[in-house]
Amino acid sequence: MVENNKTFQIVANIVMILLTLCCLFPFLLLVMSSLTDETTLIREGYSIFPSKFGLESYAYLMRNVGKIGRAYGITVFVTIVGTTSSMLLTILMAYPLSRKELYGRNILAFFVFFTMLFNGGLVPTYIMYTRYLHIKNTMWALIFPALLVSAFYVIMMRTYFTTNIPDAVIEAARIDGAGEWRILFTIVLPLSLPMIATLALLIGLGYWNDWKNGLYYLTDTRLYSIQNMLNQMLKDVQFLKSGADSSAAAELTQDMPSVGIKMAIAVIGALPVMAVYPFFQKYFVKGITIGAVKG
Amino acid sequence: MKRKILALMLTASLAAAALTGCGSDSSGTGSDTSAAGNTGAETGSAEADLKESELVTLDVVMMSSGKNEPDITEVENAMNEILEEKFNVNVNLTFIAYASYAEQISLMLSSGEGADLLAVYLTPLPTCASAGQIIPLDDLLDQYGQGIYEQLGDYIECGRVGDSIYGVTTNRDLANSQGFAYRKDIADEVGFDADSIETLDDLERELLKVKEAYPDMWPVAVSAGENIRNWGWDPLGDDTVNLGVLSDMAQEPTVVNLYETDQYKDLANTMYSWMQEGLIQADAVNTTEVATTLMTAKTAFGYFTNLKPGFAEETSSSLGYEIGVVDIIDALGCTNNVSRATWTISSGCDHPEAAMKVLNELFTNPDLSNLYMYGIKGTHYKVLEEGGASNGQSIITWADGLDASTSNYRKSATWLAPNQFIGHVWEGSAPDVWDQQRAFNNDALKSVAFGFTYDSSAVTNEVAACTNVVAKYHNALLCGALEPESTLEQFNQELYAAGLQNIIDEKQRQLDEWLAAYGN
Repeated sequence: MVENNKTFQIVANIVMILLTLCCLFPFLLLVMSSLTDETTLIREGYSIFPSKFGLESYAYLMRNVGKIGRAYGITVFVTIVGTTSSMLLTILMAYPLSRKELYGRNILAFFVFFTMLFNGGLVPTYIMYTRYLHIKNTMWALIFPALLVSAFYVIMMRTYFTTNIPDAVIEAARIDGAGEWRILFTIVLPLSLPMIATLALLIGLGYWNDWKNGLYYLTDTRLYSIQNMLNQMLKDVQFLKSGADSSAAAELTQDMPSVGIKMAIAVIGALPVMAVYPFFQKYFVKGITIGAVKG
Repeated sequence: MKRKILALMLTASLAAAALTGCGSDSSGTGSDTSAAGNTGAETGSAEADLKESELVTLDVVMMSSGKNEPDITEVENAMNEILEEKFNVNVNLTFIAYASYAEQISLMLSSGEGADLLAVYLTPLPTCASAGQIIPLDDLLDQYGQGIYEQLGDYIECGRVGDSIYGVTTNRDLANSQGFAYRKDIADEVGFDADSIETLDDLERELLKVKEAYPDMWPVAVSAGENIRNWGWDPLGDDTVNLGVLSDMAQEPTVVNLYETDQYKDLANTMYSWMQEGLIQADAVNTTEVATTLMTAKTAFGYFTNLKPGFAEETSSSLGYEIGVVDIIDALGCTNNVSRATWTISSGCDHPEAAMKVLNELFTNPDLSNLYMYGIKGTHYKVLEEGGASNGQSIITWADGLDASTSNYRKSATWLAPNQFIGHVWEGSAPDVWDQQRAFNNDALKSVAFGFTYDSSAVTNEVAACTNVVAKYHNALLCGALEPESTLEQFNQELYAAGLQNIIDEKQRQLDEWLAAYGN
């Protein structure tokens, strides 16, 4: 038994170490190539141990701090505002759905659920946002479409509320004289921190990494987020490939940032997420509700 | 009880939102059709006076390099001054970055929002036309587009899809010659003799000199895995896959499989032997870089490209070092080059006749065209030599203290503007560059299928299957990475298995019909 367990431990550790390396390697390569001397990079390709280091890429970012800083600021702003409001909406939708007293909650839940299976498709969505909500070329274009787009999160949240917040807790609060808002904000939400943290991370990541909304709803490149900038750089190369004519090619190559710069932008785009992740992680494993109801 | 009401209200508002969505949608299409109906009536009465009865605002959409253009409003105002006086029309300019152009245009067109007069680029014209996203222009052209006819001549025919003209091409290099562009400084140093080059064999001899002097440098660089796009055939529409072409300078109206022709075989063999000699970038097939990036880093000498008059000057000024070119294949005029970038009127446009008037004005009025392309004189550009260009316009450059990155309205994609030939000439280009290009277009050898646009909708599945096969072999063959002798046979077998013959037959049938109707 003990012997078995040991073998299992060894094998499991080796597998996990290999998996971790698989995840780390591409990122390490990204960081190293952003630190490689530009000419070396083109001559020798990507390498973990470049023959010559260079900080040109980061120097370029510093020189263009106006443009890149702006995009960065937009990403940060959109992520914070978007995640907060999206979380609020998700909670305010999920909580009532979790309460058995709500009349017609199955119908409401069906509306939410329905959007998981069917949606209007891109063009009607585009018409709705541009013609009726007029979010084209505004900051809203980056925030609005993702606000409550995921019914999945609402269902997740609701399920968490129904299974992990015992009715008895809510009842007890009511007997103590708490109103609905008070129950939600001072009793239910603190008990749901693990779920809230998980969803906030998922939604936040969604906002941070989103480039599609920018692609569809922005023509004004001043509103581009960092992901939109990266996406644009990648698509410029694709565009050349897909049949640009020579004049377009000449003009485009003039603006095209070098490989190193693309890598450097990718690095600064990924860093904050990596920095934030550990803080959220502790909530993932925490079981708070255990023991909340005594006796 | 309260909760009950709340739930009911929520449901009701959701339902209402859904209903109003549908309702205004259908009324939207309703007004579209009525607007289209109106044009006939209006065009009759508006002949004497070109002014619209009330102020019309048009959304004009074009591509730009993706830089910010904060001064758009000022340029709009200046353009509106001209247009309001003449037609009582205002324009609202939108510039979309290269990278997102295809997506945004397709959304704008399918939603009917945000674009009245627009340049369709990269999205095939027949696709937009058959989806009903853009309107036929024949009547409007007859009525208001005389200036366009004069400016474009025969080339206007290339915008024909089926029986109607849907798109008006822009005046740019409408034919392509094929050749090689290279770093002039290195060429001079190693004695690369461009004048002696007429064929690929000559080019090979000269490239070997480069190889010898700079063993570390690739004589031929490849852009994103593509070495040569065209070498003197008419691809009849799909210029990166070439499914059914007119080979050997396209003078015989017989559609053939390019990948079986001697023309292609020779080219692939040549490239293969070049690769063996180390003349082509070794990782050509997998590179995601652009040839000019490698040239700037001095790791490559040159690349194959399509050419036009003024190519060397244009590329030199954008790269910042001198570029030389060698012409190898003579200019050939094919429909796909022309219809690749066309101006169209969206079916969501409520005032198509106003849009055509503006388009005609952009084609014929140099002042308007210059504003659109270069911005405001003195603010965005300055005149170096008044009347210095051969078309009577001026030689211009950035206004004092500005350059490409600091200007707030930057010359960008002027080849996609309707008519750059009537406008100013940018410093560094020959003063007669526009006349040279016009002559180049007019003198180019035309394919027998010139003006023929092929509709692939009947063979969509075969095209998709064949495109996958082509993606597997074609670029790799022309990079010299595959041994042609055995590969070509397998390549063609797979193509025919994927249904190439159906595509060729369909193309041939359409071409024959077109030749009978419009051929000469």
